[in-house]
Amino acid sequence: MRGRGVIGTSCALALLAALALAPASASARAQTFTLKSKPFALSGFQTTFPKVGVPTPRHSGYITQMDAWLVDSRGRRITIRDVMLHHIVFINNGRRGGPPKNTSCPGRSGGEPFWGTGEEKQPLILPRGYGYQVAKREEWSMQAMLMSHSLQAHVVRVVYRVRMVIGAEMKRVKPLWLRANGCTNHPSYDIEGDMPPGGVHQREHLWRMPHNGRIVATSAHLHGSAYGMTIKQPRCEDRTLIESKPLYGYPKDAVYEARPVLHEPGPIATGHFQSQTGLPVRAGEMLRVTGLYDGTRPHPRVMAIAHVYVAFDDDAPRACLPPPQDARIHWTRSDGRSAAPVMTLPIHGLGKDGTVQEIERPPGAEVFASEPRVRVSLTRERFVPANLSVARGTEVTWNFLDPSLHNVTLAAGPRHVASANVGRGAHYARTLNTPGTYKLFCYLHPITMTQVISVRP
Amino acid sequence: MRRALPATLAIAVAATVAVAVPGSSATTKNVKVGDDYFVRVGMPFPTVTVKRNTRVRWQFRGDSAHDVTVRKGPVKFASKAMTEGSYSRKMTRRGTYRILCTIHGAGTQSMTLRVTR
Repeated sequence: MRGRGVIGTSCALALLAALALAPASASARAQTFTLKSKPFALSGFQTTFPKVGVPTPRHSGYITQMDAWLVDSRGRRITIRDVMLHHIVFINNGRRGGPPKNTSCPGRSGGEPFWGTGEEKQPLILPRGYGYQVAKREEWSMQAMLMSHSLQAHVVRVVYRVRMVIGAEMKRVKPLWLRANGCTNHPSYDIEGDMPPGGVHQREHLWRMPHNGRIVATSAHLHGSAYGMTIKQPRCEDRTLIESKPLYGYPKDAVYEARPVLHEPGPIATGHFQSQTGLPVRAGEMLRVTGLYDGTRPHPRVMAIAHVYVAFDDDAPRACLPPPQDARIHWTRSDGRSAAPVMTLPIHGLGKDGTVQEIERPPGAEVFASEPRVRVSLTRERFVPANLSVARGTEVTWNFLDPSLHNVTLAAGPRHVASANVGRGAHYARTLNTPGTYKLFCYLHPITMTQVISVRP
Repeated sequence: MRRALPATLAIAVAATVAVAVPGSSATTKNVKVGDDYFVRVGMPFPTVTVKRNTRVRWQFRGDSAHDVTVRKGPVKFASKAMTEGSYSRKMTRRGTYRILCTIHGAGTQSMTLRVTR
């Protein structure tokens, strides 16, 4: 952290020196702020979704770069082997009592997301001359998903570094959060896994541009098994404006070494589009945002979100001009593979020696059911019955009886099964029409809550 | 000899039992390990005091996995992670033991064990 702070200061000094040559901007400076969230306590293998207010730089100006990482209670960086920053979003809630800041979904308040990333660890980098304008008294919040890969408890903080230009005018950008699944309540969606070999699952949504301008930067948040995402321009013969392709880690990459495997590891990089000239868009025109995933296997809770930064420009041309010469895709990493690896998640249990082990099935005899409807209880942090055999076409209903939140998540099986995180009194039903073995778990309690359902042909 | 030996053994066993029965109840202290507490729910960071040479038995009664680990104390010891059963330890060194469940952390599940003379 200290080292990075020094780099930031050096850059700031260099920029100051450069600006000193320009009398009109004599008071302008670039400054890097390193800030941190409150601490979050995670129990062993706990997944949490903190939504909290976070400190701001307390300066008016323009954000030009931003990144974030996790540290422990002593300020040391935490690796994915202990706790993973699955994703994070920073939201500008505006001034207290001031005009509301909104999401990209029409009519939906809740603040303006202005930077986010996930396992791809993509920093915000705006092209030279552009910035996201913030004011001193605005309030920020942060939403994140923290996933522990350790049986040991950890206390972590999010450290985030904000690089700002203060005291100079820049070209202002509007951040847009464009999801392939549109403005649904949840940012993720499920892939059934019923497509034939080679099948590509496509989810798309048309987004209306809120103002005239130029797209000067874009990044993408994708999950494991993604083939990519595209932003197309229907008014120009549906041409592809930006294509984001995932880069997956090599088999020895830390994302595949972390145990237990609680989810299908995501890409280690997704590329970051930048252009100082920008791609012109007009107010009211629609952009088609598409997420592309493997459709042959089930993938619960995937995301395809483009973070698009549109600079305000009423003079942006209407014509469908060729892509600008300075359009580039920047990569944070190159040590990876483009093909999405096929992953089968194991289920886990606590061994007699107190260590976490991969298991074929949870303890307990298999319950053979022949009724067309079968109920499963989630109670005392267990699936009851833990081993179940049902006939093809059986409707299985999971009843959530514990006061704490649980979910039903597919680790491996022929079709998707995925409930939300819900508490006592909730139900989740699914008709299992495809024979095979369904290995299920609660990703909030992955060691104690596992279930295997055999669906008979 | 054959008749005397069982009688001697019987006397010896009786003496042992006479000492051991009241002794075992007096020198074993049970401590409940639940979700996510030691001793009793709603008692955040309890202190348990026992005399030296008392056997402390932590009984795992929760639904989640827990462990018993000495973070600071005259002797360090730790159980494995467990969801049921018990872990016991004879406390032969007096002093103050700061104990936690490493799975849930000191801020969530910890206790103090004082071992006196």
